[in-house]
Amino acid sequence: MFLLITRESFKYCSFKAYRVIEVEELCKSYGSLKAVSNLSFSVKEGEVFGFLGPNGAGKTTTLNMLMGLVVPDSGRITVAGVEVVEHPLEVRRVAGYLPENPGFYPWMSVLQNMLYFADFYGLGRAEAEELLELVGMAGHSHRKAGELSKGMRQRLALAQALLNDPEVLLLDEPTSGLDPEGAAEFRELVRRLSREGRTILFSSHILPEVTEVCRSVGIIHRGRLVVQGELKKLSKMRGFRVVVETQPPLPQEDAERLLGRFARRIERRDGSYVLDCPEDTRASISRELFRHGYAVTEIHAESPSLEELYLEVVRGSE
Amino acid sequence: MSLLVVAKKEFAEQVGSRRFIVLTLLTMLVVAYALHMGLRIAHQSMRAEVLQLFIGTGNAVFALFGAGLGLLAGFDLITREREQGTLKVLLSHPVPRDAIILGKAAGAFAAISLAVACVLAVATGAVLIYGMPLSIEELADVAAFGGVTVIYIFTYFSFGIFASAVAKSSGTALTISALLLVFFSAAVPVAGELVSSRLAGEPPAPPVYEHRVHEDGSAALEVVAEPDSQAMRAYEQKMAEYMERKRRISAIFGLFSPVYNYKELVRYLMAERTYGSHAEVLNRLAGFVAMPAVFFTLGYVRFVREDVV
Amino acid sequence: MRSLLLLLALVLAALTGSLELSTSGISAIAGEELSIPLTVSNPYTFSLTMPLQYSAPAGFTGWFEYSGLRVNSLTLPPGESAQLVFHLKVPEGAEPGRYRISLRAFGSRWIELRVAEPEEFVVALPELRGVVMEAGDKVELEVELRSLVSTPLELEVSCTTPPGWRCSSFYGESEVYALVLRQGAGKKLRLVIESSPEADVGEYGVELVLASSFGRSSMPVGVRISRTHRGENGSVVLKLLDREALPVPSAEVLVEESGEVYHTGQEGETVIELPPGRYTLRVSKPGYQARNLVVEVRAGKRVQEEVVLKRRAYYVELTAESPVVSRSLGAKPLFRLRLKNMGYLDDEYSLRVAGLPPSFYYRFKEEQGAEEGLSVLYLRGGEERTLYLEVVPPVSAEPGEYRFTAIASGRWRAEENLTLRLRGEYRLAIEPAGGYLSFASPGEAAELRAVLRNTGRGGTLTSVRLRAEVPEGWHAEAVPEEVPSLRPGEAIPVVFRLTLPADALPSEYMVKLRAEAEQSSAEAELRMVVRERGGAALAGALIILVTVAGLALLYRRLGRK
Repeated sequence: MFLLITRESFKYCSFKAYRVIEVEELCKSYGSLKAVSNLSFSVKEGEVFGFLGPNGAGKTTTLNMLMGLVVPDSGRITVAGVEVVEHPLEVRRVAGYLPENPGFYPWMSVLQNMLYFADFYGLGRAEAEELLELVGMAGHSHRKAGELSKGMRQRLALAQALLNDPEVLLLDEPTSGLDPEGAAEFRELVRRLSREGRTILFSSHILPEVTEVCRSVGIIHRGRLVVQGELKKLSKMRGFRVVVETQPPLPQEDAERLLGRFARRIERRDGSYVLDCPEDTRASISRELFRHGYAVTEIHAESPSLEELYLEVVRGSE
Repeated sequence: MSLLVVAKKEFAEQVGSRRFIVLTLLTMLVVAYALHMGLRIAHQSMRAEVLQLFIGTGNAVFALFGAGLGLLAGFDLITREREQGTLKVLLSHPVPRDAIILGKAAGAFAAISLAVACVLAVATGAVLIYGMPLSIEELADVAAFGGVTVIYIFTYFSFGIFASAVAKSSGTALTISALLLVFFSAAVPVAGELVSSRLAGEPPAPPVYEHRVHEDGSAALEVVAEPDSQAMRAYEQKMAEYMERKRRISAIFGLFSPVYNYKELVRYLMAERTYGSHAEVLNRLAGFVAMPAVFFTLGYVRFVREDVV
Repeated sequence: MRSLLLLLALVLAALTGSLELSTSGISAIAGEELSIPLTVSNPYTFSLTMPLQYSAPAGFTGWFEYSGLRVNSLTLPPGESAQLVFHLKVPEGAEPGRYRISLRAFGSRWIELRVAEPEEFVVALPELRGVVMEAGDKVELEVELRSLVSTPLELEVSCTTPPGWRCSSFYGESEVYALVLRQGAGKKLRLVIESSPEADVGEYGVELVLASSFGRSSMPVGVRISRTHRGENGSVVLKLLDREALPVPSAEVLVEESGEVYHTGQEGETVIELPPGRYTLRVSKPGYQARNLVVEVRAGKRVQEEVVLKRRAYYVELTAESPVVSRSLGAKPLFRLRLKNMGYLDDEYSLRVAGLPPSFYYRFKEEQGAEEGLSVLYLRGGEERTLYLEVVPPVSAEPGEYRFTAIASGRWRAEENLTLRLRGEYRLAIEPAGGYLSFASPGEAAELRAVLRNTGRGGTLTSVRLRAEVPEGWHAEAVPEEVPSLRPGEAIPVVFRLTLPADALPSEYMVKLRAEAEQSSAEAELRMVVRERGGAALAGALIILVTVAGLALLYRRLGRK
């Protein structure tokens, strides 16, 4: 398996972060439905990129376009240096793809299925078995594909996606439908593959698993990329939420007049005010209130979770 | 390269499928039974034209079972891949789409050829067991018959694969291909009859003398002129011209009926070559080969152009 | 609604058909008119009007007949059916081959029509090619005529012959010049050919000419005249009568000019052929007074002469009906004799035999079955009596010829020389050596061994010819083809070599082995089972086995479990 870090991946091995996936102004519509519009993002080499978005956000369409399975209306895609729209077959040589709900020929065994796909690369039984071993399916290689559990099917799908020793791995909702334990095991596999130096695009609609696996994330909603960045930075960029309660209660017009310059947004909640502040400005806020005769009975700041951010983004762009 | 890989797998899938093996064995049994009956009759008359017997019995059986075999082999080739989710997986590998559909066709063609060859081999064996001698020429004719039969079955396969490329689900594909089958084997000949009647105009009316009703009411009839009368001769002349006109038109429709083409070509093979001119046979052959080519090409174009995975 | 029902019915009829034909294949010749019976029925619950149509290759014309009327449409009440006849005229110039005629009433059927060569409308069997005869002779040939067309065939029968010949056809006792043949039925004619007596030796042609509306067909018969009578001369028919105008048999007629001697037969007649000219004939007979007679013989003519002979007083004549008798060993040969007192006075005659070997026993008898013998016979003048002479050869008698004389002596003595030929008992047998059942394969040679045996007593069988009667297409050869002689009790092995055609169908066949000696014949019938060619059957079985096994193997390897 260690020989996998070879060929193309080695070619691009450089000290500066190389962008393995680059998407620019990608558009695709089906009739009047804009499945993807003006989508741009990039994934750096060796990165595990979480492609986050609710169901129907355009994740699968984007991945299909990345694999050259769907031709975009406009825009540019480069995967591992291959211009996808012009060379759809080339992309499939350098990228591995685990589609959403992958299927296998039910009447063939796990190994036979693997061998069939391996045949396209001129690979044989040894390679197929090695990959099955890697994904932990070695013990099931003679079972009919039709009898496999969902988890086993995902592993098999991962194995076939690795057949061409891909530099880039596109995983479309790989853990959907798996039980928690299976999903954890699968994530562990992904981490292992990442350690091998592969660039992985991990598509999901579940935030926690993305935060667990990914270093950076892009959130897509209704065909648009809403947020993209490294997880840590994203959280910081978001700022603080300050909750203030005063005696006497602060009327709405005063709150806006006095606190407007500290917060991007002010919201009243059960007699207290929630302020969206770019920085932790609790001291200035309480000083200002005190100056105008309001006693601060409570003030605290909270840093919002990515989940909240995600939900907010999703809600906000509605 | 990838075409061969697909073809290999497709061949295995066809030959390994239950419906293929059941249909092939059934055809074998029916052909063997038909031969058995035919040979018994031949025994009584002491002389038999082996080839006529051989192909004659095979023809009717193949016409029926061949259509089923071809249709069933083709109708869900693509829809099933789509429904199983294997098409997505397959396409994520560097396999050109045309290699997929061509490979499928090649695999199915090989499987159909295998089925036909097996049935003919069993029939040949049966004939040999009965002690009928088969000459090299006769064997060559049997092989030619096999070739025509493969094309015939492939015609229905092309219906199936076309339907499979067009339809979204296997059920729809089955419906479409069955409709195509009915259309070309029943509707086209009937349409040919109707259109040729329409285009050829009204048939000349025979010179009617009187209208008679039987006393007991068992029949009413139009009585026409005497056979050798002037009027009758003129009528016969016109009628002959009319029939010829009509025959020409319906022959064009006949070109679109795989069963009709198949049977005519087989009859031609059976050395009954008085049924049509050489040119007519060539036309028929062209129509016979064009039909699967057209449907397969339509299915091919549809599948290669299609965006959705 | 009604039209919808009708449409449905039409579709159903197109599928099921309510037109019934008794045949789907028929043969004809160019120019022939065929009648094809058909039944049209209306299986539905409403009345139907159906146009009667047909389609046929260009040039073929036809029409429908219903109870003697030519019709083109028929209305049938529900459930009724009608019998029609379709008349089809095959054009004069129709090429031989297969044609398709389709008939439509309500539903359609097609008929395969085989048009044959026009010469083929009648066949004469057997196909005789030549006969041999003498000039002036008659020959009778049996000819069977068989029609090859499906309609009744009217034939005019005639004959062409060389000048002066006669030729006519007979059916039973009647002479025939025209007849009707039905399909499949044959008629047997006797063809009588009489050549001219003037015909030279050589080859002549006689043709049986059969003329019909389809044309003429002829059956040539070659006649080889082996002997001519040209230039031969006439004959004298001499009839001798006594005073009572009864014929005088066995009289001697001497042609004085040539010294030739003739004898009158039972009817007192003799025919003397002579070159033209004048002849003196001397007529004499024991018991009668001789006479001379002058006759004029003319070329090519018969001369009738009647001569009356006068009887003597005492004269007796003993004649045998057939002086030579052949019998097998073990039988009691009987000679039928006639003793005639030819004088006009009564006499008494004693009867005896001279010249028989002593071991032979004999007796004269008055009746064929009489027990008691006869040694003396009294006859009135002119009276005659039939006698039987029974000879009893001893058991040890050898086959051969025995000459002896029967003698009746009274005042006049008469003798008759008799010959007894004793034949051996000829019996021939042929027995298959390998039993009455044998096996063979198509395209192969088979050997049938048999034993040829003379099971008779005393007689040697000569020129025993061997042959085998085999099914058509087979070839048979006997080894040896002929056995020159076979002594009593002798047995020799023979072999019949049969060659079966390659396309002989496996079945059971009859093979007849025949042996024909000049004296007797024998045959043995045995069954021959033609089995499928061993190799081919094995190959066939192997092909099926390999195919099915291969398919099964492939399915096991590739099949979904």
